[in-house]
Amino acid sequence: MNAQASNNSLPPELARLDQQLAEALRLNVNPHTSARIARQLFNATVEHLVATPFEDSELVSLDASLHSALAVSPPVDLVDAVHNATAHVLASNATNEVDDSEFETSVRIALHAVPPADLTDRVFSATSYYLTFDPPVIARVTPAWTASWRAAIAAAVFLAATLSLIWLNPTFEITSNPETTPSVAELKQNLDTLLAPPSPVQAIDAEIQAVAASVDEFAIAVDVDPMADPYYDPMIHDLEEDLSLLEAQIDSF
Amino acid sequence: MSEALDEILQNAAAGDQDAWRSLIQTYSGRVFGLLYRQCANGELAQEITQATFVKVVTKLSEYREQGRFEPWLFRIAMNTLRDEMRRKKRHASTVDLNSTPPESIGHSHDQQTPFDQLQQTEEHDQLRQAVKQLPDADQKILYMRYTAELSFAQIAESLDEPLGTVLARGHRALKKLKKIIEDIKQEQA
Repeated sequence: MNAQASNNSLPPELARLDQQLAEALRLNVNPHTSARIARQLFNATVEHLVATPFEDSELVSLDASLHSALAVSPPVDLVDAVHNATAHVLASNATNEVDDSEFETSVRIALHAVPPADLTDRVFSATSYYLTFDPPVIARVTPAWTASWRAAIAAAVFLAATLSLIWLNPTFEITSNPETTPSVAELKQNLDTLLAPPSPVQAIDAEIQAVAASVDEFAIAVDVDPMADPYYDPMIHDLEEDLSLLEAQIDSF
Repeated sequence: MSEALDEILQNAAAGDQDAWRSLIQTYSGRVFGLLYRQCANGELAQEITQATFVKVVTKLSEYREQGRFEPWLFRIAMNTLRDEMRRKKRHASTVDLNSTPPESIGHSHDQQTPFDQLQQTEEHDQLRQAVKQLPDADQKILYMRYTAELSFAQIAESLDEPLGTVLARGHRALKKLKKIIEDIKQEQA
């Protein structure tokens, strides 16, 4: 076949693929296998054309070899694609050239989008601030800032829920050790204990769950696993401090 | 260009505001265009453009790969848009057919009659509609190629796919597009 005839002009990798493809076609193996090898050959060819300084005659030889190989038993839709793409590479070497075909020019114009006139200024204003900070610091500032309001809401909801709990059931006690700051897991466990049926606090179950969800949410926001290191995130620490204050208030009742 | 870009990147990473502005000036429009074509929402495209450059500026000092800035930048932009779309649980539509197309700027109409201009706008609207009928992967390549003005090699790197695959898909997409346009014209005739 023509591909084999022109094999001598192919680089080793392409020649190997070319040979594999010819063999696959000769043995009439699964068309998907042939298509896969053909695609590999095509990709390798294009890579070669892009990466290698070459002579026109070499390009013609490679192109002819590839098309001959594919033409024996063309995988569906591949021959056209190979022909077009290879021709394009031959013409442009896959650089950032402009194809002057009328249709491509129309597509280029149709898909062009003009940005707002003040885009540069806006983006610069929004980003230049960060130039003066170390990246690791910045990476934490943004989520922590956005999470702070959530922590405040979470603390307020927790406070309201617990005070409601006291009002409904004044005999309960906080079970955690006030000498140490409880972990998030302990906090959740305490809440679960307090909410265990048949406690009358089931009515505020949803609120308590919202608190737990908030904890999870801002933990995710700062990309921290609260179970692994609850003190890493200052927001969790703040919440725990709020809880300590709450416990102190409860003790004073 | 590459050496000049590397120098600008180094200066920006060192905190040089002029260099940073120069980078934004060079790339923000192309980033915006790519995002706008994919989400069809000007405000969202602006937000994501800003978010993209925030990510870039915070990672600039870690950027080491010379000559691959554009694929890196546009990959960040597309990933940021994808995350935002997921977050909002919206499906990314491609072209806002009702929006006023700003795409003719930069192309002279001096020699054209008003009728020519109108016809061209209609033709471009038709093209944008036709692009919307293509598979998402084809649309993405066309936008990266013709809106963001990336080379096929850069597109391949941004999408982490073989160059040959991207080239083939790009050409196939154009071919399909041509066919859709021809069909539309035949229906109209």
